[in-house]
Amino acid sequence: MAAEVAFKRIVAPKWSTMEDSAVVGAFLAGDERAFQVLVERYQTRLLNFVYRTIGDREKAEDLVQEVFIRVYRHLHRFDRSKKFSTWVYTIASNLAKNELRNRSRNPLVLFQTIRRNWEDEDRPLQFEDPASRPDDLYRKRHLRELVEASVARLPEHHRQVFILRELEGKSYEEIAEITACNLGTVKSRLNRARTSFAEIIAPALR
Amino acid sequence: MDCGRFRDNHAAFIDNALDDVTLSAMRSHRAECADCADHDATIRRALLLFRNLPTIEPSAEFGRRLNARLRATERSLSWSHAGTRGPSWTSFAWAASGVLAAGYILVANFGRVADMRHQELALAPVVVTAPVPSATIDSAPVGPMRISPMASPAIVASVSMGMPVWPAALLAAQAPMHFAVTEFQVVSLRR
Repeated sequence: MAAEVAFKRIVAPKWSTMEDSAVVGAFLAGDERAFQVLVERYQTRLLNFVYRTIGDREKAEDLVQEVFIRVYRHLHRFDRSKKFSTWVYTIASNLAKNELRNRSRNPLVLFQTIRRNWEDEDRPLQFEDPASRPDDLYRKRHLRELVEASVARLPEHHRQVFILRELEGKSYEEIAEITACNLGTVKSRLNRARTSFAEIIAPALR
Repeated sequence: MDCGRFRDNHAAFIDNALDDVTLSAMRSHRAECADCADHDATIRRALLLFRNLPTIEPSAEFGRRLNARLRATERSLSWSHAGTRGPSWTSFAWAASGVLAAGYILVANFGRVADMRHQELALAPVVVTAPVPSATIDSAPVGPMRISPMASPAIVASVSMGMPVWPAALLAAQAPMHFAVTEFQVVSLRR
């Protein structure tokens, strides 16, 4: 029986109160629903993390799916004394890094990404508050694009640390584990990333 | 606290990860130094913008595609598991016939080896010419079997009496040589 992922809010209180490690244990014991719970918990967070890292929405979805496939295949090898979320983010981080590395080797991929971003420009504004005035909508959208462009200008190793801390709220120790760096490097990269990001975006805010 | 230390500690300052003494010193420096206060405000404002970026939700297709990929993964996993559970009937039949053939060959060869072990090496029969009686030496016909008259018992007995070397050597050269040719042969392959 395949692990059918329902992608609806799972209402069973049993699952919602369970720690990740308990859910993992349930899956390993043969309860396929536990995998749905893990997907439900992490799909949005991982999607945002990967998207902010690579800047390509469609590719980000592919990579997040790949994360879940790898989790499904290798969960039996996961060391349950460690945090599940750290493991999942490590997989996502490595996939995102590989994607960026492949892009730098293959300019065609980069071009496709840019084209997708152009197409995004033509899409209607779906995620803005419809109650806002048109000029507010424009300003918000402009600001969002500005922030995304500023993040994209950060060096890759700074950007990952920055996103993990500012968007995902990970601790320094978790970031060190996910990015396979020592604690001092994480602190230093985070400090530089914050300063660089502020310097890039500051002129646009004045 | 100077500006350099303020900048070094700024990440921890934003994350509220400083001890009370350092935190107090940072706050004091920010209140006193306009540049550092500006730096602090710029970074906090930028971070606020970033943290307030709208959250992206997975597309409607995300679940369907993930399901399809999970099913494919599960199929491949079950195939690989089936491979580790045991051989199919066909491969089992092939393996069994191979084992039987190997066993037959082994048994047949083992019988031959055992036979070889029980064979005995024996000398081939020695065929020799019967010695010519001394009385007939002189009357023997001329030919290869004829014994030289110099090898009469009297002469042989005189050798030990102190004859010179050369006549003894000549005597030995003319002595009849009747060697039996012998060699080891397998005389039987049966027990």
